[in-house]
Amino acid sequence: MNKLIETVCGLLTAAALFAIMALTFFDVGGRKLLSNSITGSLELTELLMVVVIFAALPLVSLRGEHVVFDSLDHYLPQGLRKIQRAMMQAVCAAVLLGLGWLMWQTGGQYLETGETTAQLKILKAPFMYGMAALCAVAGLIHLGLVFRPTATEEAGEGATL
Amino acid sequence: QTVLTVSSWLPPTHSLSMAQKEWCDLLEKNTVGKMKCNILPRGVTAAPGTMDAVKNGLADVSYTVHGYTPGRFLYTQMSEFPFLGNTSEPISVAFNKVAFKNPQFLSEHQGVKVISFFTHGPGMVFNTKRPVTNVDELGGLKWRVGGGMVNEISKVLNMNVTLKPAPDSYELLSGGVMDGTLFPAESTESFKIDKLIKHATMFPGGLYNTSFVFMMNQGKYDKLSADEKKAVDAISGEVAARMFGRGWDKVDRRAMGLMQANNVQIVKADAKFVADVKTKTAPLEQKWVKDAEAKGMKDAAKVLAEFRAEIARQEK
Amino acid sequence: MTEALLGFAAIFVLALMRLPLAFAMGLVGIVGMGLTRGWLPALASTAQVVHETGFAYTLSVIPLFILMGNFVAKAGLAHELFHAAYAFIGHLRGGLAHATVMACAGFGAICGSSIATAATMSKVAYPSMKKLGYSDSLSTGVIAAGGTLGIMIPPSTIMVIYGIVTETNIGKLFAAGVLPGIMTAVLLMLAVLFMTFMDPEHAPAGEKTSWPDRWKALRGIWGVLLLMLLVLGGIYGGVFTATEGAGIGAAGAFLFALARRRLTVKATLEVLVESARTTAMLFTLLIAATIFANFMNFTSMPGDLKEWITHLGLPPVMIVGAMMLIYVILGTVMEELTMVLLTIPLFFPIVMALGFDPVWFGVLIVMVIQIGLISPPVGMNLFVLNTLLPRVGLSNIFRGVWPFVFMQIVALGLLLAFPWLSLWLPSFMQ
Ligand code: NA
Ligand code: NA
Repeated sequence: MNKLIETVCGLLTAAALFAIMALTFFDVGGRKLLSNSITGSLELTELLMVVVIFAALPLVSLRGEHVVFDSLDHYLPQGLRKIQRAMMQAVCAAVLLGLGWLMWQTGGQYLETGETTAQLKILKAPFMYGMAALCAVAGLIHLGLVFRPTATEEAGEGATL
Repeated sequence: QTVLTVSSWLPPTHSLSMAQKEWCDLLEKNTVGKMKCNILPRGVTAAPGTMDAVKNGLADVSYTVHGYTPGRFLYTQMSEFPFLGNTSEPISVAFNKVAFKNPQFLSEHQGVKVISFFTHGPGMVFNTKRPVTNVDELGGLKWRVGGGMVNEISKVLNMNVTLKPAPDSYELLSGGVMDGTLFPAESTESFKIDKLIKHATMFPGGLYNTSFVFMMNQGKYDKLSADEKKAVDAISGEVAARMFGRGWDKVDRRAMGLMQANNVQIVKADAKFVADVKTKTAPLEQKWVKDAEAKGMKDAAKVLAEFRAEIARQEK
Repeated sequence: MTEALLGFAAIFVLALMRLPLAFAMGLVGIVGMGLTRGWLPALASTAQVVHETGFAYTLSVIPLFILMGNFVAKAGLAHELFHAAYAFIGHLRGGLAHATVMACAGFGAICGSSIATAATMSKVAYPSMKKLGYSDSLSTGVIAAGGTLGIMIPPSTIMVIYGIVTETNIGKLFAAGVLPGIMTAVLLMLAVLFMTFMDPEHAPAGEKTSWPDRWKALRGIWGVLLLMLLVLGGIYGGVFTATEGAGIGAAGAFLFALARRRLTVKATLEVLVESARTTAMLFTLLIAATIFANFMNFTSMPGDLKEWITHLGLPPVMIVGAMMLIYVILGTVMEELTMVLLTIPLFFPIVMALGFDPVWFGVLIVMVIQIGLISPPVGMNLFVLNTLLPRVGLSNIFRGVWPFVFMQIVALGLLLAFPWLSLWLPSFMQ
């Protein structure tokens, strides 16, 4: 199951990120060299950003890469640590599942009002539904981790800074 | 005492924030302090989210641009066509007179109580390269445009446009990424491009316009007492429209003065230029009439004609 | 004011209980807004923030700069940089360590991450230093400290985040980092001088490179120069916007890595997915920080703080200095991104109320993050080196890094005392 999520979400987010890069490259290139930019490149970037962020979200959860304040770890006894981890995974799961529900509702509102992007008139609702579904997937991953709370322990170090 | 939570996505010194505050002050004065505004230090959301923020009660009162939520508002696009009027106040007042008479305008605003509609001043064309005196020259440069009808107008005029947010204008023009932008006069000052632009083209009545709505959360309005409702109603519609309109006109005038001081070459579009734009944009008005009638407004052509006539009457 | 303080307290408690920071901030923000403003508005506002942050064109700089850094690391450009610096000063005592600082600064000009810079340089510079008999403590110390130049010299991921959270012009922030970055590099080289002076055993001298070979090595860095010119020249020369520049830089780095045959389909996918994961992690933080800031907007805190500070009547620079002291102390034990995102809603309005330039404060923030990244016991750069060079041992790394931490604190003091160091270059932009 985890393997499947990693493959599907990985391909999705990688393709979207590569597309943003290529789109910017050709948009600027076209504007400079051919004096003609790609119509709607801005809003395509926006839609692709949604895919990049939310398709990668389950991967972050899977590897336990969210920024955590872990300086107190050494002061807690092993047993207590496990319970504490399980509790926190449950909170994460609840937040993400709740967010999934909220974005699904919002997607419904967007469908109702028929809101589109400005230039290409692409409906925004499907992207909201996608956001919602991927939040829920991430939530389910945390739910799974409630039962093996130390699985992601040493897994990842975010390479942001 | 009733406190309205008021939000503005523009800085407190911007003409729209000031007009909103003016309305708040008048409300407080008229109700002898029984109603007052709590103006938040910063906007509850970025500009495009404001409509929903008021609808959902995040803020009680705010204003927004209809074009920021593409696909939701059709009727109000009437106030974004070329050659409507030379200043904001008469257009805004006429807009309210027509819109409050035809219930379709309000039915597009489910969930919010419309206090007033308004528009900015006449839309102009600014660039850093050369004078623009005819339609062909419009096609020869790269332009930044915002959302809404201006987008369609630039398309039928064969302009090479890119849709970018207004605050990006400085970066786009200073770097030479774009040659020009479509703005009302005021925005050259508030987006700090007044020292960058070399040429401006003015159109009698404006090349385009932008439709705004000033609104209150419906639930908040419904909960007001009868007296309070009356106090709000008394300064809704035309009264509020005049505040926003006058505010725009004042900063438009200041910006025109600034342009003269900065030696911007100002071209007035001649009869031929205007006629050409009219021919090319006429199908947009026909399309609007057709779409509006399909959506439920009977005789949209008559409403549009009435709107133009009312502006003319207000301008006198 | 009380609601706001309770909110901060709740976040700290939840974070201490090991709830990821993003979830702690988001949850407190939603609940806080629900209690003060109503649940429907709170949920609506949350949905709106998620929507706005997700569909944000200007925020595409974040994944694109991260992607650029990761491609650049893959392309092996660091080798040429180090080789060129080595050719000129490798024969001096401590020359390799100086060369490492210079190579880090050069690499920092095309990579926006401190950790990526340190990790890349550890693969390039450490083996050479080891071969020459440099002490482990000096070699790892200089790599860890040099790596932090990656976030001060533009492009910089952390500046992008600061710019977004505080609504400060990112182009100006980038320009502001140039002089402080160069100054810090010089100070780090002074630290190397000091260490080799105190104990020559740290760093034996290497062999001298002949002048023809030096010129040859110098020619090797054209790739780095080209990428740097492409991105920064393009942005400041008006060919494209900063947002577009990130995409161009990423595409350029991709083409470089491709041309050097460093990329298979699998490797490309890995780079893309890794960059996307970092992006997603950052965006959850950004979304949560915005939700929390929206809650703060409804409390009386911004106004109250302003009043309190003006009543104190302390010299403004002293107040900022006190903040920096808090940061340096917190930075020894805290993860730096957490520290900054938690404190910005509190400190930034104060600094603005005191009338300081947000760009200057941004540079100070980057500097305290640099310090935090290498100050024991908790410093990400130190941990990265420990992971990549398991033979060295954390205690050795800790021992070698202190002179560099000291010099970075000196750099912080200079930036605090002389704002023009940060503000001179941005003053050429409007
Ligand atoms: Na950098
Ligand atoms: Na530290």
